Amino acid sequence: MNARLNGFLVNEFPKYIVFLLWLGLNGFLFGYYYNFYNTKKTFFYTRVLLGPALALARPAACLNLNCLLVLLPVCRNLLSLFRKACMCCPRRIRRVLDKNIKFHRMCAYMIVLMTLIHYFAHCFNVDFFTSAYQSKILATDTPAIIQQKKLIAKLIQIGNNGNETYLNPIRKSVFSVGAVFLLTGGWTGVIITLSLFFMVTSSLEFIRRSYFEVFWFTHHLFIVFYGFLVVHGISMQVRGQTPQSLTVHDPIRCSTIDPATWSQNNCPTPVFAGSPPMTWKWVIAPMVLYVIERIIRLVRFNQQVEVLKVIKHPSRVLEIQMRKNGFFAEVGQYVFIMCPQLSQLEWHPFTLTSAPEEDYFSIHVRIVGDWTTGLSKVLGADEAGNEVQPSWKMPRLAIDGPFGTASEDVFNYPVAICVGSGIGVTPFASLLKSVWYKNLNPEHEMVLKKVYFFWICPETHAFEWFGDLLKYLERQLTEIGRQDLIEYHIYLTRGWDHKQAKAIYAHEEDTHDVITGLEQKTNYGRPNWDEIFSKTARDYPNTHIGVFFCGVAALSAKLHKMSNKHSGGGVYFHYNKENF
Amino acid sequence: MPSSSSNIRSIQWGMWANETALLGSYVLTLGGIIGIVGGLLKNFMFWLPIGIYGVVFGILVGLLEYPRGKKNKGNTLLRSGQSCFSTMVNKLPFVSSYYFRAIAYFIVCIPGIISVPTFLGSVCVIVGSGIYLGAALHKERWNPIESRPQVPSTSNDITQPPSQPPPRLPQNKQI
Repeated sequence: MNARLNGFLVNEFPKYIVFLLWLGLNGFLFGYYYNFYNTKKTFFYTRVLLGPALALARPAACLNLNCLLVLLPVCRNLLSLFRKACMCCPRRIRRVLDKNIKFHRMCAYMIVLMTLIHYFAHCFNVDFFTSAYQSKILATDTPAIIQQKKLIAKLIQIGNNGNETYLNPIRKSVFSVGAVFLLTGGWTGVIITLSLFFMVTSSLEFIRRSYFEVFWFTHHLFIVFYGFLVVHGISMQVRGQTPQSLTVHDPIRCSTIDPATWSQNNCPTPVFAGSPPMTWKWVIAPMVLYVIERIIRLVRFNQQVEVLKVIKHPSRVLEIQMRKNGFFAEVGQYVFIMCPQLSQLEWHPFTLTSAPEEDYFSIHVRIVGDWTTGLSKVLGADEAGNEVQPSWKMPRLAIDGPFGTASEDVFNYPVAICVGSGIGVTPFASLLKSVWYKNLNPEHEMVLKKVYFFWICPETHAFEWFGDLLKYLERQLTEIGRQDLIEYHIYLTRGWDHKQAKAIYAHEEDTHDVITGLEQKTNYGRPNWDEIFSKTARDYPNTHIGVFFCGVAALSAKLHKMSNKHSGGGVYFHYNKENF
Repeated sequence: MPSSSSNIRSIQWGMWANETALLGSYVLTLGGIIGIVGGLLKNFMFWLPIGIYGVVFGILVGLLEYPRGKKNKGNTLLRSGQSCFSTMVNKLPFVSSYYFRAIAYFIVCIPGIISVPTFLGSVCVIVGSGIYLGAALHKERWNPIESRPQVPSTSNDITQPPSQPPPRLPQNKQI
């Protein structure tokens, strides 16, 4: 129980803090402004016209807050800079920045919810404003209702005479839907909500993954959204009594007196004014930050990327080695690559497989879809032969990044457990290479003393290049007598059949594994994580152990659980997950 | 220079039109409910009758749009529980044609715009109908997703990860 709590605090706490803080802020703003418009004397007469719907529509402050927040998580370059600047912060705080897209979506959902509340409340307001002109005193009305109706009739006609200010922004009897378009808040609201609607329908995962261009183009409607959002309140149509007018005309008293007799009863005509638009104050800063972000991306796009080498690996894997001025990446970071020749819009993320110590950076691309096939073609790699394409024929590539992920932190732990499943093994190429390079450097004493690497895949098909890398590292480490630095375990989950069993048994005494060619023998089936974690906890008491995972979500959940479960009593498993 | 037109050609607009019309129908239904509630409480002009209209047609459009059609390329993700709706839509005449959907939704939503709560939902479905028109002009139509018969796996030796480790000498056993 204690271990579970420890694990929870280590791995989950910061995320939940951010979430609760955000929820609390929204709740507070909603409650505060609801109360403000529901109780303040300034809006007494406005409430006479509109009733409770006024207070429900006004917590647009929540909308303002979320429109502010929603722009920030997508500034990936700025986030990266922020991450670097916060190197002093504990790493579990910085890890919260990995969840940026989740946060963006959360804010977007809140915007949708608040928009619906805001819209439906204003539906009532619009109709209150317009139907006030049709109000007639009926014979069956009680005196209270008659007074109410007389008051409304008086209030809506204030503003018709020369120096009067109006309360009801609808100045004459019109059809209610028509009134929507008379009010600036109305037609800008329609444009804003429609933009929001289309941004939402095209960002659904199904559309995003199947037809990326639809998502990308439509999501740029946010420009329309923000443009009209800023002018949404410009006509100041929510009005209240001015403070000066409140001193001479007390609405609570005067509302009980027949408006026709106001001048005799010390109730001079009330003066109304609108509240100035507030939204721009909320959103101007994030809008500026976003513009800066796009400028950074544009600059990066225009920087030249030199393609040094293209290497064909088995199973349709391409290694592309590149160089760019001023480019430096940490271990396990990823970049976005765009090839204008293939598509002006598509930026695809790839993990860097080179170590920072190397003088080039590389990615390994598996050719599966349209874009990767196209890339292989323009790089000259789809030819059957091994001819190298001359450099002037190489396509122009643009690189955005590098963007930070959790792998940077691996060197801060004395012991690290790295698990890569399937294609998730890619960032660990960079990691293991870097461990090797750092180890060669006699000056720097590494904090990291031991790496346990678990490679889990159905079969090694398509990852022969990684197997080759492991073989190479194995040889190098043995040469300098440090073969215990990296201990790796390979699990082929697809298992073995009876034909393979014969070969395995026959080659049992060989030093090298018959399937992978590595010294350490391959395992079959899935690892027993409980045993692995408890053995590691026993071997390293009082240590902070970093657990790094990249791969399928199901295994991530399991490792996360294991990290929480086995933490405690001095040993802490810090779970880090890479995500794209 | 090869343009990205191949990407544009492979966009199946009907899929996006479907999402738009479905979500639009939700907004329309919600607006209709508000219209009914507000109409009963305050008797605003048109709210009650158009509110009922909005709920009825919002639900109808939603039922029609709920089953996702078959994607041209790749696997289509089914919406949960859509199979019974899919069979129903398959049986109805006309509905597989996107021209029909475009024109029908447009006509159906015109009355929705005269009352404020249903205004937004109606406009959303109308734009959805516009996208359907575009899809229809691209010669798309709604096709049901056939349930694929279970293909027996060819490699019947290796389906489950093994529960036993392979034959190894005892001294070489690892965790």
